[in-house]
Amino acid sequence: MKYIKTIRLIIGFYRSFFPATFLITLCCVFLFREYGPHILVPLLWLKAATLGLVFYFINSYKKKEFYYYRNLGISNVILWSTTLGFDIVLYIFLLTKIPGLI
Amino acid sequence: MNHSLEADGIQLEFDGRPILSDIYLKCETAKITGLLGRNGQGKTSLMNVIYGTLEAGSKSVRFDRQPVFHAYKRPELLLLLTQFNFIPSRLSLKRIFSDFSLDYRTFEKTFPEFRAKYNASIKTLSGGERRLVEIYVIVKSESCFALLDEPFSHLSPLQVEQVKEMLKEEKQHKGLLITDHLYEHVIDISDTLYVLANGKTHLIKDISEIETLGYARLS
Repeated sequence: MKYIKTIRLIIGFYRSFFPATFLITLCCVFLFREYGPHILVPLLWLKAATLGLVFYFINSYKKKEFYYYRNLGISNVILWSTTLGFDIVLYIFLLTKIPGLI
Repeated sequence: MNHSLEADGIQLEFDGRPILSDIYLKCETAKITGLLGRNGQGKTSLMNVIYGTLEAGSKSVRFDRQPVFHAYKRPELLLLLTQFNFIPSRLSLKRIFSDFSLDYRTFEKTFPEFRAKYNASIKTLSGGERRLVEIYVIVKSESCFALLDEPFSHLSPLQVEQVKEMLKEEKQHKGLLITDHLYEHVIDISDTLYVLANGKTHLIKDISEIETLGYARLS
């Protein structure tokens, strides 16, 4: 039960920036489809840079909300490592699903 | 079971300016500990150092005489009510009470004005109502201690009295550290009182010391 609640809280946190990061992911997938594997490296850098921006903005403008999660036993490290980790895995998964890459 | 939370040996400075230097503070189960101090004396910083979210040059925070370095990782031990709104505004009361494993009906009985607001988002509440929810979830959650930073701000006089009653009731099984500029309420409910002045905590034995320490003029 504790784990389910933790996952639910992490999902709740992820939802606060998911639309922005998923939009970037979709744009990258579209560009990859259009221009092929030779733009893979720039696309990876683009994704990394936008995730860095999201990290900066959430930490700057929503830092008060971190106390909500701390009071429920979830540290910033857990929040960021799980959500950014999942976002990167999702990004790689969607890119590799495109025919021609592998 | 009775527990104790002690903090001392805290050295904190900002840009070379010493903020906290000679601190001793003790909270115990079944007691409300009041912490008073003028603006900029470091009350909030002290709470954050105890909670573990603010790094001090040195510190000793002990729970039942055992050192605790990052209390914020142990909500069963210590919770913090910040002086600002900390609950994400997108959340509904239903979700908040579920997250903190609290019964909304019990809350409704104490605060009838929240009837029919179970599904409402917290951002739709007034400042006082929002503060009341935050105080309630921190104070009522299962934890040995709670640090309350300015709990009475934004509350109406009636709500302040309700919160004071709730704190007196809840102290039966936990320790509370409270700081607020509405010092008369803090004095009223505190079993132990400290004044933080010039980086040092002063245990108040006689209420007139508050005036001597330059915190307030007592009428």
